[in-house]
Amino acid sequence: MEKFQTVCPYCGTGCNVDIFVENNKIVKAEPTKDHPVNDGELCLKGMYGWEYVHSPRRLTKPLLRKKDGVFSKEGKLEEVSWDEAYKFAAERIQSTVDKYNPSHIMGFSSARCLNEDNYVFQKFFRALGTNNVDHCARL
Amino acid sequence: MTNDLVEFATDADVIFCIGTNTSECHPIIAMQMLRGMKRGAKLIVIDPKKTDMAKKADIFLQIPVGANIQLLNTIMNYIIQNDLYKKDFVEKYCHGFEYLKEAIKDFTLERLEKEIGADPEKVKEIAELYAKAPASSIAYTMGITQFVDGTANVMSLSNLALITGQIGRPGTGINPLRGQNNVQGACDMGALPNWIPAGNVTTEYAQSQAKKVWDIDLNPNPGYIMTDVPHHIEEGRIKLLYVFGENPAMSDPWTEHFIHAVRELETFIVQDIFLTETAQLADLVIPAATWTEKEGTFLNTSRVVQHLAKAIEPVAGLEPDWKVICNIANIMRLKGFDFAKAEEIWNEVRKLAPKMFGGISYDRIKKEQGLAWPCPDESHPGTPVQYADLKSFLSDGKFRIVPIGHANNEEEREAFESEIRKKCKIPEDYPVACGMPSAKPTKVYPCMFTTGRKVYHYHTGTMTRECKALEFGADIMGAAIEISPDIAESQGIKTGDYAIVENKNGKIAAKVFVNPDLIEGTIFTTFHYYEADGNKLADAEHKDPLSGMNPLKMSIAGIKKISEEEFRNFRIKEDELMHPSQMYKKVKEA
Ligand code: SF4
Ligand code: SF4
Repeated sequence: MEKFQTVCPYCGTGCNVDIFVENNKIVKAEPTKDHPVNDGELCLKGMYGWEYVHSPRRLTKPLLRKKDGVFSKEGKLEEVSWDEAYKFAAERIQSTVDKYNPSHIMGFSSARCLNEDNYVFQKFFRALGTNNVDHCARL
Repeated sequence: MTNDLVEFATDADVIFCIGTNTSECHPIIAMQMLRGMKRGAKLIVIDPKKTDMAKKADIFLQIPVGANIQLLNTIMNYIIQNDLYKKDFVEKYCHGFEYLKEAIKDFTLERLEKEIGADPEKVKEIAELYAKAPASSIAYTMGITQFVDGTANVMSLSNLALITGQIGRPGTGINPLRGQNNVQGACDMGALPNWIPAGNVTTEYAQSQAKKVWDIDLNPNPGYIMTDVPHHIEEGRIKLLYVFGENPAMSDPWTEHFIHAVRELETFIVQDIFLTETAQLADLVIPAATWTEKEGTFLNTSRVVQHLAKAIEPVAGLEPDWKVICNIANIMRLKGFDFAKAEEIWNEVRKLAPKMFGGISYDRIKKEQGLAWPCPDESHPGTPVQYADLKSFLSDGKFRIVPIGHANNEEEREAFESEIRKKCKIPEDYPVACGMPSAKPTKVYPCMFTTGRKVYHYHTGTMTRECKALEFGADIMGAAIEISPDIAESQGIKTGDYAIVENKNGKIAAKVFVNPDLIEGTIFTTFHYYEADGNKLADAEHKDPLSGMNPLKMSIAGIKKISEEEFRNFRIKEDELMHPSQMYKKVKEA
């Protein structure tokens, strides 16, 4: 069993959690000992809240709304290749910026994702020329 | 937070909790507070609900939803009239004391008792305890911010700390307990329409840093705020929306408005780990790696940057969210998205905002168990206690005490603001604020309606409801509508009955629990369950003029008992509305 120190993904307290891994599966979580924030304690969410990582319902492939094999607002979500998904995203973003202007795109970032995720996400919108980025701290 | 959460345990003499159900929402912070009490700290709890912490408190004051400003102004008036404020601190380090004194002079204990039924002796005791203790700390959450006057609420708390000098030392300060794990980080990283890590987009500094580090001419106009987005979509001003690890179809106030609006987008992209309620509405859904599958950092409520190790290989070779964005940016040939690992991204943040993060390296936070910003260089120890030098961030270094009134309607509010400006000769660029109820019970909607969370679940439950121990260990009742005993009596509803709660924004149905801990005339529900999502009834029309926050904590509603059969029919319809996708049904059954 290998141990990794991480931070609980639920509330803003930021308790430190030791994750124990076997065969690439999390087997248990324990509070990091002597850590100043949570000093050997965790609440239920920190202790048991990791199970979703191995949920069979995790998405593993991109989905695109399609009808008769092409993108359509009237279509249904279908699995597509990563190539197709990335190209679709890049083209739609570019064409929206070209057809209107950069202020016609908007991004909602996440107060649950990493600093690094948030940083790259907002930089992306700024690089495209808009400040239309927000996240759900307002809610 | 201006201070570190551990100081509740180690330094605070008085802990003043207002609008926070700490033991449900932040159990480990509650633990630190209880440790403080063992050491001898006194706990004050002010809330519409008799929470667990309220039961443990030295003083508990139950106030109606939305009465914060009336109460805080009364406390401060008492403190000023009885010379309990810190004269030297106010004179040397603050502006605006005289404005405040004038603005709140009519907030007497007698008036407060008449208006909200608060016991004057208790209010006095709270004022004395807080003002006189060597170190008093304020803790608050959404019970303060989710109102139309949320910003005024927060400024009132800051007024209280300033006139008593309860700031800049361990165990003092103004401490918002952040709900989501990385709210602080999302803000500091610039996931805001007016902010990049180097500061406000309108400032010269942010502009020049963006040029220097990003080679980007930063747009100087702030972008749209989230709460306005459904409206902008409907008006054709937004054509493409990219949502990243959120579930706004459930967390956005006035859910139906949002669901309706996104249908009008030309492109709707959602990046998430599950086929959430929001993702089912998308044109493109992109899965990504999740927590423990990637390395990176979070910023907790004490402003501490902490390191997260990658513990497992991501399922199906998924990539971190940041990498997905880089892949798209690179197809679009944008410059500056060639990061190979998380640490490189963080090091760019340090370059962009050196005064805040310059000294915070991955190596150091791993070794030193996190570091609090500001931390400008590698020899700097970080800043767990903000304002220790008693200087504000304003150019003259002084703190601002803001005169705040309380009005019953828009007219009264304008009248207050112009009168106080005239009377005290307040300059135009100095802030003045005023609290105001966004909703008052009416004949049709006679109850106050408010929302909150439960210890087992977390926001819209995307992750926690996937964890069996949490889903099944949670309240046996699952989604429930809690009502105060007086409503139960007048409507003839008992615990275990079904009811519909309704207002002009929407309706929800669930089993009822009569809760004697709720203050009179109040209905409460959580927002974890799509079956009865309290946010459906939230008021999305009124907004805090300064933050754009909707008054999620305060709306009015009516309640009606229904039969079990009516309830079941309501649920079936609801389930279809929230989960339109065939695929969701398939996965759910799997
Ligand atoms: S363990 Fe509990 S208190 Fe600690 S961060 Fe996680 S959810 Fe918050
Ligand atoms: S809550 Fe879960 S599903 Fe939602 S963004 Fe975070 S990791 Fe993704």
